[in-house]
Amino acid sequence: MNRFEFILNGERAVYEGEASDRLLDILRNHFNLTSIKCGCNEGACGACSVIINGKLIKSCLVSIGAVIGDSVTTLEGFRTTEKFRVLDKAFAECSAVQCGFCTSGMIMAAECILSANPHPNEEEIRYGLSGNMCRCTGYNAIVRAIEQAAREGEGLW
Amino acid sequence: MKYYVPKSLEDALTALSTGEYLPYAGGTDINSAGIRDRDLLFIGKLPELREICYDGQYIRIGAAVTYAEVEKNRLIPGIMKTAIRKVAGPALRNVGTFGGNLANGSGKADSALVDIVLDAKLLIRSSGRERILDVCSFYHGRKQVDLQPDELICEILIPKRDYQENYYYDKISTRSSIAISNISVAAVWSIENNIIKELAIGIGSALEYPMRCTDIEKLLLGKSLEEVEKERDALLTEYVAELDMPLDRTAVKYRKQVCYRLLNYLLYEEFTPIRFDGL
Amino acid sequence: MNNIQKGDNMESISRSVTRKDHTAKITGQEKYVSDFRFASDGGEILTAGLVRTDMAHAEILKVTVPTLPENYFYIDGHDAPRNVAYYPLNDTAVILTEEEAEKIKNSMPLFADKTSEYAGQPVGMIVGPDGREVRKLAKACVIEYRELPAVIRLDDASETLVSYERSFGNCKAAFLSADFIYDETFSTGRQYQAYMETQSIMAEPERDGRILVHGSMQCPFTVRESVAYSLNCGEDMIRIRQDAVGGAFGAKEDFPSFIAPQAAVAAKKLGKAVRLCFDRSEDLQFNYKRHPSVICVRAAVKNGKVTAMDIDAKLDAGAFLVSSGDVAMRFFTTFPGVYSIENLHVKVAVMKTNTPPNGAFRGFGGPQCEFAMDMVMSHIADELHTDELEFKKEHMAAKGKITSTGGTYKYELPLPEMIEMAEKSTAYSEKRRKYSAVRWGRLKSGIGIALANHGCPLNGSIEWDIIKPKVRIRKNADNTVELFTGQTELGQGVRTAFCKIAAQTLGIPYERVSAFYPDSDSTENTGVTAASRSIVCVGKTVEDAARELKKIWKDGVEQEVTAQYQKPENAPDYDMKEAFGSQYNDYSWSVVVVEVQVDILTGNIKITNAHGIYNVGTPIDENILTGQMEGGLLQGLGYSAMERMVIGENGKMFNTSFADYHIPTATDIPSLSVEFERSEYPGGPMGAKGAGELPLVGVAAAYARAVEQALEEVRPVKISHVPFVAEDVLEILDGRR
Repeated sequence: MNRFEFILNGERAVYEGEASDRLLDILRNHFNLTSIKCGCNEGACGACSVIINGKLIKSCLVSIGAVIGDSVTTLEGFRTTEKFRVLDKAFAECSAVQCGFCTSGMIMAAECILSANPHPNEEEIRYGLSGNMCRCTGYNAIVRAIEQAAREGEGLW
Repeated sequence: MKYYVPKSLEDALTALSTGEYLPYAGGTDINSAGIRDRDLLFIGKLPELREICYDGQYIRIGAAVTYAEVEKNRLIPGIMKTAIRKVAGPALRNVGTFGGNLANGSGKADSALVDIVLDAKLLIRSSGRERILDVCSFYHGRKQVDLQPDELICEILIPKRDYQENYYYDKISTRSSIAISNISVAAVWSIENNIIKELAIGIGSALEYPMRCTDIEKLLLGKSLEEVEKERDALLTEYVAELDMPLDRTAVKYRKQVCYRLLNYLLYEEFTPIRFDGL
Repeated sequence: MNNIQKGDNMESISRSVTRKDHTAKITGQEKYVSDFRFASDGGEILTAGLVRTDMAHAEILKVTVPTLPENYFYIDGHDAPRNVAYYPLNDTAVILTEEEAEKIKNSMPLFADKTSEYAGQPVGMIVGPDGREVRKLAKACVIEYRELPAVIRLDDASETLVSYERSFGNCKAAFLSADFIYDETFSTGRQYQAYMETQSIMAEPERDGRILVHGSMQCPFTVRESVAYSLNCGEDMIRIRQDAVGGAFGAKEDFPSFIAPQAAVAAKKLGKAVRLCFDRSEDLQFNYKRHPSVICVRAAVKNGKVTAMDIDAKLDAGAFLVSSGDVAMRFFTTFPGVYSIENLHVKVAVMKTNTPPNGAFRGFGGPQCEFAMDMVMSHIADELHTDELEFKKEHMAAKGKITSTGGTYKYELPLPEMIEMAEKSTAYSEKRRKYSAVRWGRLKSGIGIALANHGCPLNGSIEWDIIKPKVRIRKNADNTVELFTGQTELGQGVRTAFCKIAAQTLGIPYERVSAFYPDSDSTENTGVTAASRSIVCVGKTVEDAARELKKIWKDGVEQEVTAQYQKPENAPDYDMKEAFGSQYNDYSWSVVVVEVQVDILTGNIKITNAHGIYNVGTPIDENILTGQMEGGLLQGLGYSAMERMVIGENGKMFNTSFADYHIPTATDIPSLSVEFERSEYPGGPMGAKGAGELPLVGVAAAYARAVEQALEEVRPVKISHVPFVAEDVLEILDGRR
């Protein structure tokens, strides 16, 4: 058994296991952070998206040995922020949540889009979402929600 | 299982020389294949592998530089940025590395095709040894590359040349993102006094590995645009017919059709833009 | 019964609210079945992995299971009290004899033991504590076979599982006196539902001896029926509960009835909670998908009008019937779609192939049928050198005209108004003219329009004669209200819609009303969550129940009211056996316009615009309904343009991952929009009508027509299959067609 330390949602975290253990499984099964979903096992759907050192990353493609000392943020951490509250309100008012399975990944992607560019146009939003699949909404409501969050969250990003 | 996070490149090469480790840069291939029975060597954070610089002759890209890191870098040629913007999606570009996409031997890596067309070289090191290899000689067959288990690709060296800003890149796939291309074509060229002075054309994805169309290049270099116009059709028809395309997701017939069309378009449209009057 | 409140009420019901499930889902707290860490009693959850055959058709000689480590078990047909995967026959049962029905009912084994009828058929299941170990052990099982001849392609199929035939009018005379007869054959491909949460189910033994089955499902009570059948016990021994569902689209209507009994058998034998969750590759290959079809149409044309149609169609059911009889029934009764034809003869055969069984997917046979119908009308218009839209208008449904099953359309249909709306929003005719003019350049544009309909809820008198949904409303002492129905929230917003309907009717704030995931301990079976019936049928009953409660409402007191779905005014008068008469309460209508740009260099087709106009009655929630239409429209575009499934000669799916099966991403079709034609339907709650499936039904023809126009300048073509992709374009451009 090896010991791995990293920062999880702002706090020091320790995992004991193999370096090749997948971050997705560790976050879900060991740390019980079930906002992260497994949709495809191949890095296509984005339902497992988390933020590592400020970058949007699919946790199904990451081994724990690669993120030693890194800062990992999941929805469980992000949902205590003011930025989340703005996104929450916008997603609610646009009804951008249907089955909810892609939602946590979409929120992580939204945070990364707006952090890189606080006033994105539609094309930039769609480009930023291009790695997150949704089968229910047709994407329009999610795009509208991010546009609204950008407007209402002036100064936050 | 063991694992190792090396403190330096030398340290990594020493570890690799034991023959026990599998290098892990971005890790996307290792994880999507579910490889759990190998000892991993985590090289993704080594500073020696993460620089982008220009040494007066080559643009040097560290093997662990990610696709995303290159998108905004001024040193990187336009054709490489164009290719990378179409790769997968943002999260994958945040972890996919230049070195990893060569070492995995994938014939479909978008950056690899561009490396080939730009005459890139690979700086490959092992403990106590260093060699520089033309990327065109890197591939031997499907998923077979000239890289020993104790070697690491450290840098991709792209010779800086003026004409590289005259380029063409297209990737044909079923979908606009998260799509492995069915066929991609890349080219750079220069024309002086209506004569083709420099020319590099490459085909990716459709073949076992990205390849230069050296036969076409040889036939066209030094020719005038009028001569190209006359010979284009026959030349391409023969070339494409003889291309050895492996079985894959899409039919060989379709890939050859697209290949012929893209090359034809390249030679007709791109070299003589003034002549545009519809197909 | 015409007591719709107009004006204020109507506007306010449509005003969007925050969904009941929004907060749990957006904070990541909503639990899908794969999120549970422990069983309900705090005990461990074992993971199950299916062992599958890899021969399309073979006699199974022997299954060798590796030596299992401690705490790992192998479950197979021997452990099932009744080794049958049972699925109810519903509509199909009407035309079968008891004997035939029994035979089909028992035809699919839960775990294959004698033969493999498709590559991937489960023969057994490994169950144990570690998922990776389970998968490793499952892969290590060895199956010995004696190969049998396999039928893979629908064209080669010869075994008919079930067939239907009907006619009305006088086709023979019409064909004899026709000016000419138009013949065309259409085909459509498999489509995978591609919900983000894969098929997942859990079975747990309860202390009282019952088995609790819960997970991702649309129809908990159907699942209970299936589990009870395989366990050979009374339904009262099975408790069923729906967990949050990460997308369904029909796929979780029938398929859970296959995996739930498998998990239940294991749970019962081992006395522990067993969870079966498919990984994406397994789900993509082996779940029940949209049926491939081949549709031969013969149309008699006289004096510029279609006077008769003779349709001979086949659906590929895969290896077992399951729900294909029901899908085929809707497919069968929907011909000729939106068009009124006086003389009709339809034959549908559901064929067996040695491929994974196909099943329910949004539209349920409608997309295949209406693709063929709209295309054939377009092509006949072309033959007659007449304007396609005018031609369609002449034949399209209208009040008083004949329906697809020889009944009469009872309500005014807003199709003419919807076509006007389409013209206004998309400039369809103007662009159609523009794109036909000679054009330069590599990119060719085209625009297409398609009309479609979808009858709802379940046909005939099933709703009030057989299902008789009963809705219970409980009012608490604190004046909050709870609704009890068997309808499942799948993301389509039914929980929210029901609460809005109840709140509006009671005149209390929406926040005071709740509805939860059905649990058989507290909810009655109000019928399947499918067939676009939940709002128009069960929602209507919610409205009735709320009205009853309002009459007797007493503040501060606990009260309870039950209401049962009533036979509506203008009720369908339908003979199910003959498939004749007025089939549905009403129909919902759509007009879809799709614009494309074809790159004649590479063959790539880009969808530049897609716009749908829907008549689905009053929106119970504007945003939720818009989201449903947008999502369905995009699925329809995927069906037409991107989602191609290929099955190999060995009966194995060529598409095994999302890298091989392309559903649209956010960048593929950026310009997609919907609008509503808002006529109210008097038989639905506050004027609402069935909407769930309609947006997928009438898309393919609009797309295909647009591509035809884009290509016509270079090489005119009649498109008769979907999906239609770049490879097809190059075949045409290079003159191979």
